[in-house]
Amino acid sequence: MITPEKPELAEIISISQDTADTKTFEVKFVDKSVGKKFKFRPGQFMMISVFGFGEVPISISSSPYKTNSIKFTIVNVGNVTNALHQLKKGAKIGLRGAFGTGFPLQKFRKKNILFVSGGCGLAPLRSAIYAVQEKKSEFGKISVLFGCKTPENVLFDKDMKQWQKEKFQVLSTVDNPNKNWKGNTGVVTGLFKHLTFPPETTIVMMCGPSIMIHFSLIELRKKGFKDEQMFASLERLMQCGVGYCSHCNIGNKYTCINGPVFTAKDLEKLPMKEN
Amino acid sequence: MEKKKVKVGFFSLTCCEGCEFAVLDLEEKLLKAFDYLEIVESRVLMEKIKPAAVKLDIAFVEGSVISKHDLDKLNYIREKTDFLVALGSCAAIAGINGIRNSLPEGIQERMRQKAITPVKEKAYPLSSFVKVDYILNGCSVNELEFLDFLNKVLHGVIPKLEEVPVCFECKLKGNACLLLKGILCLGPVTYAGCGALCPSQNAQCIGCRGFTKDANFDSLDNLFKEMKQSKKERFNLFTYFNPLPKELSVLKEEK
Amino acid sequence: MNYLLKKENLPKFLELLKKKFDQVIVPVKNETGATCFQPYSGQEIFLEARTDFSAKEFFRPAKEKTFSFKKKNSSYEIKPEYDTAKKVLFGVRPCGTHALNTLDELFIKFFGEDQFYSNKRKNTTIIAFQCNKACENGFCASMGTSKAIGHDLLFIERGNDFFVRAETEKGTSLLDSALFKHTSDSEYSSKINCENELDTEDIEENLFSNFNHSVWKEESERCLSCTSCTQSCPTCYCYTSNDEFVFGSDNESERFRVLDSCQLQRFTKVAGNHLFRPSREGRLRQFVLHKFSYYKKHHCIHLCVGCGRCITACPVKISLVDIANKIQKHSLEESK
Repeated sequence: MITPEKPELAEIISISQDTADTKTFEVKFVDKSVGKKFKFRPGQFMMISVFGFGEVPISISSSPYKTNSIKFTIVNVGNVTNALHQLKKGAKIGLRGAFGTGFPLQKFRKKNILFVSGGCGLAPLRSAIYAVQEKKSEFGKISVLFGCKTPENVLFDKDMKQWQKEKFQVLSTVDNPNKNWKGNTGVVTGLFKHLTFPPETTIVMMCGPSIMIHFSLIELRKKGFKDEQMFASLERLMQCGVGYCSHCNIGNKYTCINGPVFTAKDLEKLPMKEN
Repeated sequence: MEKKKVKVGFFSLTCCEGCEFAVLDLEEKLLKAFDYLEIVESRVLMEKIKPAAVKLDIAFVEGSVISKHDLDKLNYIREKTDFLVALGSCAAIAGINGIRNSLPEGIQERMRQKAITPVKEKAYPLSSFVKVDYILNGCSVNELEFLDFLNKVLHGVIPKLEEVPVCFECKLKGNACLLLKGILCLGPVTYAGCGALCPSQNAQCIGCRGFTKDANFDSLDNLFKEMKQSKKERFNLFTYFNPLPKELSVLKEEK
Repeated sequence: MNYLLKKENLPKFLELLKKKFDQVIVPVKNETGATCFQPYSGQEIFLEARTDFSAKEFFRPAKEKTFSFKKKNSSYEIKPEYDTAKKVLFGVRPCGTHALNTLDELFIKFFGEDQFYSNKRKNTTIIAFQCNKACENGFCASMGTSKAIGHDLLFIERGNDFFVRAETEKGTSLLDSALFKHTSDSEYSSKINCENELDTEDIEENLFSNFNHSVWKEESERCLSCTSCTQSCPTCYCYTSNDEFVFGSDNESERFRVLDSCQLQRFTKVAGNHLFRPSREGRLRQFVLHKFSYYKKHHCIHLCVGCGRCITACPVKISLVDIANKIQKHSLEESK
């Protein structure tokens, strides 16, 4: 007998402020036996409950090889995320999941990997980047592209430096630079010209606003990437996580059980506009 | 809830003060809320008002702005208030006061001349002049919605205005549809939150909670036409509480 | 074993049921003139046609408490709230029994058991009532739902009697009363001639491949987005989950499932107020496609039982049968 909607208690064990409106929460299941059994794939999301305020779907941003604790990177945008941001270390929240498909990393062995992210879309990808980093020898060349609005919105500075040390190609760009910004400016698709490895042997994983995904797909197709090589994680209103409530329905797919990661080939078949 | 009490004021501009009385209908529940509230100003709730210049956390303002006196008072409240709530349809959408806004210009002119104190050209909702943080609509305001609002803000939740028509709540209650019975009803274009009070009593919805953003006025008016209702009837119903939607400007009779 | 019950003895039977169950749910006419299902307390039973509102309320209620959360020494107690009352539902039509069967696919057989639903389902005894004529806008003959399934007892009108068929042991146990007389009769017809007909052949593919057909825009232009269709529908189950603090308490909160409707803009609203399905056209299409295409893809069964309630309930007479037939006809012409 399972109750798919019953949250499991978890404790916040550390909080770090990433940007003005974004924090990363490290949490641990209170019940150790639950924590022991817990597994996830990068790209999967969990439902976080702040009791009294509600539930939100949040992608996991930590490594799938370190499940002792789980990290979530969360932007303060609504009532529930705002309540989360007010919580202190030691506070208890509810967790359900992990839900969704995630990125099928085991299928990407020997391939070059291109990560394309926009804004807080880097959070779910970070989990996948960590996974690739962990098993570096199994993959080819790695490239991480990141775009956001201003230099103040740049996420995971430390990680980016670490990835550079690992000889990953790491490029970031901002829409509105300030005086101190030395990187690229403009949208993330503008970084594609710096790509060095051939499309045929490369897998693309992307996450970001739908407009970014839309234009990235167009540009990458022009470069010769095939639809089955490209994977994107989508945002929809996931509420139950188990296909019950129908809020995240796009065409005949449920984002919560068939997604949130889809191949560009799947996306082609889905009515993305006015679904 | 915070241990520190939230400072609250009730203010009336031009109106019947009925919304404040609707809040009083909460009786014991309101008394319970007083554990968390400090009423700083209210003509109805307090024996003696001490119009102190203290900062308010929440101000509930009922009534429309129809005179300079109203406007000065509103500006004064806004200045000393953190979160301003328009209480009831007079404050939210000009409501009953706004009926005159839709009347022929000649009649409006005569009304303005006959007024005891100088009045503005039209009756205005609060949002015409100041930033309104939240709207509790209705004539009168729904006391349970008021309580729900209090419960949310006291816990630090900013309530959201739900884009839901009266029909949604009406059907949840299992009511027969008035439109299907041939009775004019503004349920499909009016904000819910009243628990479909009027349609549940077999009375038409007259739109006291304001029109929804998603309203399909053209289709509803066509339905009214099919029900053989005159232009005047339709105009009167649509403008009972609300300004005439621009989609229905054909209903306006030029005189 | 089959039985006869004199029509005049129905109230006596219902009173007997009241002694055995926590709640006896029957079809009645309410104060506003709408027909619906309500707990029995001596009201006049409405058996002339299918009711305006389905019995959905007793399985997927408009607002249902799912959990209560209590803060205790910086931790929380999480308690699910299951409805385990013993109920009997009398007078549900064959289409209504199919509606429950359809929801079982999702809430019982799909992703583990949803106990908020399955508890109600398992604790409710179903007494179906056979139709003998088509109801307004009904198209059960096209959907293959005019014969009841999954019920415990079946009532069929026969002159001054109800002919009663016991289908399960649970059902038979309710007939242990002098009110019921044995009969050797066993024949009955579940054939209904519906005026309204829907061509269901390849409907899931045809509707989906005609995603941009002009009919969606044409029909949705007069849609009021009033949600009458989804709310009168016996299978529309989409819900939203909300948390609320118990008034006057710092430590107690509750989670609710609230019935939602795909016809509202807020249905797809995410943080930042972005709407994924803003237009009326998209929302109407979602309703029809969920019924005839998406659900079938996942659960191998249509999310429509042909009761016709949504058509009857629509103030501007939008018919999902007309829409679907128009597209079916278009597909047929194209394939020629």
